[in-house]
Amino acid sequence: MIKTLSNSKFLIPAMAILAMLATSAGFYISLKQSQPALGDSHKIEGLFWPNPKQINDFNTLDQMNKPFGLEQLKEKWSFIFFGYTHCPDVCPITMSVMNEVYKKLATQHDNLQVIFVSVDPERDTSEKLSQYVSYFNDTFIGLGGNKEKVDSLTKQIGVAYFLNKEEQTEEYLVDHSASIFIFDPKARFVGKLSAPHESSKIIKQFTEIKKFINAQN
Amino acid sequence: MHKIKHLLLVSILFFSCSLSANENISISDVWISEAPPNVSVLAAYAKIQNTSDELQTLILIRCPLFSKIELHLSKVIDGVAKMEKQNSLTIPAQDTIELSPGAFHLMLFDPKAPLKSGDTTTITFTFADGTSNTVEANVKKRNVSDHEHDHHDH
Repeated sequence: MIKTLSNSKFLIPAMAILAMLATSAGFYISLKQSQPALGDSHKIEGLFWPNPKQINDFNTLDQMNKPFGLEQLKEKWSFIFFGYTHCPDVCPITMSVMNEVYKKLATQHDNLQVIFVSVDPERDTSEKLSQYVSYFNDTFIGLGGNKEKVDSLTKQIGVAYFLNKEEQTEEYLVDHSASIFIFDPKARFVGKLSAPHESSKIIKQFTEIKKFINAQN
Repeated sequence: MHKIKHLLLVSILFFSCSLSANENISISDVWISEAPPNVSVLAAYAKIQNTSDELQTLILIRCPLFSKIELHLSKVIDGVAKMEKQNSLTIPAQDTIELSPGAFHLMLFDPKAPLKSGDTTTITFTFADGTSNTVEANVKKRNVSDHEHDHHDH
């Protein structure tokens, strides 16, 4: 075998293959070195990169009945959670955790906003939303309006929800996404944090995501 | 005669009460989570311990301050939060079931008055054998570190 390889007839193609391998390896290494951030992005749980979603305008109403759309997401880091006020367990847990997160992050980060979007706008009037969000934190924003307005946001980012409403009743449960959606100051959907939510974990994930996004700009 | 009648009534009441309590069940750490003022559905949590060698089945929960109480289980399936109504809750022999945030919980409907942290009331748990235990429930604010501690336990 060695004898065969040393034969000049085989030596040239073998060298050519080796050269090709070396070139592609070198190319691969240089590719990795020129984009170190791409490698890092895989380590950040919840981050969407390299393809954050740029969403279109949407037309929800806030708890003061003022229009809230894409423009209101700009220049801020937004945490968005989807739920309903008749939810006794998961929603108030998440809102309490987000209050803890907000209080801790606000000491070091400017321009944060926490948004609760009701996927049950029929029961969650602006007045209800206003009392609900301000109970947890008076800076929190509550969004709703009507189904069409809420869907103008949920459909763009794939938020699942389902009203378990078999007949005309005021008492029904709603299945809803348990995740926290993160938007950057360019109003891009850059990350999604999965339940169960813990303040320390959210703070760590957010800090990493923000640092990474800022490094790309 | 009047006195005897009264005594008889008191003793019957006492007797029936002591008969109807479930001696095999110990219910502790019962608390109702304080909620925003206009919210019509609240949650309560508790620890239910079965100290006997037979399973016990919880079938009904009542509280004078709410029109109705249901038992629910919170679940997150494929990123979607759902609640599943439970018609009963079985507590296996020599076991404890914890009703805790993000898991089994009591769903309390239509508070007759807004509840604030520090308020107390009673909750009555009725079992399949007809026994009932009435325990004190305290209204508390949610403590985030409690939830986070719970997650580590599961």
